[in-house]
Amino acid sequence: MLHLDNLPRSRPGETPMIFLRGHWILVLKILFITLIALAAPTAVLWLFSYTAPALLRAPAGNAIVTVFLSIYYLATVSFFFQEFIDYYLDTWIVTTERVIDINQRGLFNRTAAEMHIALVQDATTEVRGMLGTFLDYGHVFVQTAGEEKRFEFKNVPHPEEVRNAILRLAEADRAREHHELGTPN
Amino acid sequence: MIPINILLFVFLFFMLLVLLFTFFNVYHLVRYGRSGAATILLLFLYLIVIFSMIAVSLLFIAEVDWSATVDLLPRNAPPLFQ
Repeated sequence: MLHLDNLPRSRPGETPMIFLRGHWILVLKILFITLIALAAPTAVLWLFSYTAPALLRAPAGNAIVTVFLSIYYLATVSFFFQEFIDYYLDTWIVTTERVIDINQRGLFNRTAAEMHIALVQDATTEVRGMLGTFLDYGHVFVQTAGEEKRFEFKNVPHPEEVRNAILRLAEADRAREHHELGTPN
Repeated sequence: MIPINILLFVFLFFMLLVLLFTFFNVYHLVRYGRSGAATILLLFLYLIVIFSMIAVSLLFIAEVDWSATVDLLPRNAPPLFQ
């Protein structure tokens, strides 16, 4: 498991400052789709009970409906957990030294990238739509100096606060490095 | 005449698929989830829900009469060609 106090390849004196996941509205969206999917067979069965009641009463019809519903509900619940685990394992960690982006996609795709926080040149936020504005969630883009590398914190809560914290930490790390090297800021 | 119990093989195949998914998801949670009560709770909730659903499905399936057959061409059906 991932221990924040013992991150992989951690540097001496490194302290985790921000741990982020997507906003809870993303979970609500997954839950909403799942609930609709769970309710859908009820409507289909109700329709069949009016249009073809004999089919449901027949032993073969009963067997087909039972197996189909079992498979359908197992698939729906598996889908829900799959999506939720995708959400749960998509994390962003900002420490006093690094920005770490961990991305889980499906069963077999996982990427983990990191950048030195002193290299952060700019951070911008993007809040879209009514929900994003009212619930205060959106994207944070972290840009490094010189390189094309850009980290995207997608749909994170309080993007402005996250942006400010990253810029503050980057500035503090640069100041610390200058101090250690004995060069002026 | 097609025996309907072939549907049991379809269900068995799908159940194995769900178990495979469950294995990989549990592996990911244990390997990459943030250590803490939330991950452990999620892990147990996932396993309880999936295994409960499999158990309920098996209970329903056990009540079905699997000796029945499906007749694709019923004997009393009108002939297609005279």
